[in-house]
Amino acid sequence: MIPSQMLKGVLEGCILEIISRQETYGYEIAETLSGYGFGRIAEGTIYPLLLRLERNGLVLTEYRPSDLGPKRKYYSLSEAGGAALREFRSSYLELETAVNKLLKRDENE
Amino acid sequence: MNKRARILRNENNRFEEKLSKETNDVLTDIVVYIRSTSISEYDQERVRRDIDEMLFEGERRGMSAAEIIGDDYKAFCDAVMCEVPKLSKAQRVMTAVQEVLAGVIVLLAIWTVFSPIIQLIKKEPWYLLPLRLSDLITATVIVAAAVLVVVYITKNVFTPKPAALIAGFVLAAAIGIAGILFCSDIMLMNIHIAVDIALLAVLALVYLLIGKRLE
Repeated sequence: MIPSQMLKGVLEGCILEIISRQETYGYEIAETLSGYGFGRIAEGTIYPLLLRLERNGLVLTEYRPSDLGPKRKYYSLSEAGGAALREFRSSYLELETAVNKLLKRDENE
Repeated sequence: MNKRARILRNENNRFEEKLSKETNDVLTDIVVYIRSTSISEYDQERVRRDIDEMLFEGERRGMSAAEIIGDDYKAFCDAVMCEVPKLSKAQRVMTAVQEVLAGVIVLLAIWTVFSPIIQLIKKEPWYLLPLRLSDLITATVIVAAAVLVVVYITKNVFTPKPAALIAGFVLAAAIGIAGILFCSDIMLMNIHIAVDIALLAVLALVYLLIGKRLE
């Protein structure tokens, strides 16, 4: 299981990536993350992050009526969100390279 | 409460009837806690709607509130509240004034209705309402206690401390009773009922104006 402290640094960027692929909603984002091996992440963990992305203008939101329950909130990527996602990808690849180099060096020793 | 917040609250109330008792109990605590935060009424209802939807859909999938939100409801609420715009200092002051005004208006209305009746029973002029020091003390204690009880309950909904609440009630009752016992003979002034009604109208207008300003 990935420790939550480690997840904290990448979760927002990963959520942006999922939203960039198609318009989606909270539970679907949680399920997608789980499908990619992030482990079981409660929708309650994702909701505050989605609020932050919305507050910072990185995602757009739209409420759509539901037949049975409250309106469902859908998220899509804004232009600023696209730029933030590109920055995240670049930073993460840089980090991944550095960590892999370090771990490989540790293995060789 | 402003109109759009009221509309959303009514919608939320309707949807929450569809939730199970267990989920509703959790939701009640969450909503009570959210009321203690410095966010607008509309934002409180917006967040409530999102949480309603999460819990509603989760229940349909056979999940409990803890599985949907996480075990620590307070931590969830605090994380959510961090991401919602806060009221400005001026707005917080206006909200507090409005809450106190609500209590003052209710008590003044009750006093306005019952004082003339008591005056008639005593065969005194019904239009001259006697204001005693004990009236002011008990009114102050009642309004202060009401505000503090609401603040205490909303802030501590996840970790209730009944002993502190009981101690507070006892203290308030003691002050109120002391006020009545020792100050009931201290007459401050007689107020003409027309002045009293005018004051009530002014306070009610101020209450409504603050509400409009906060929209």
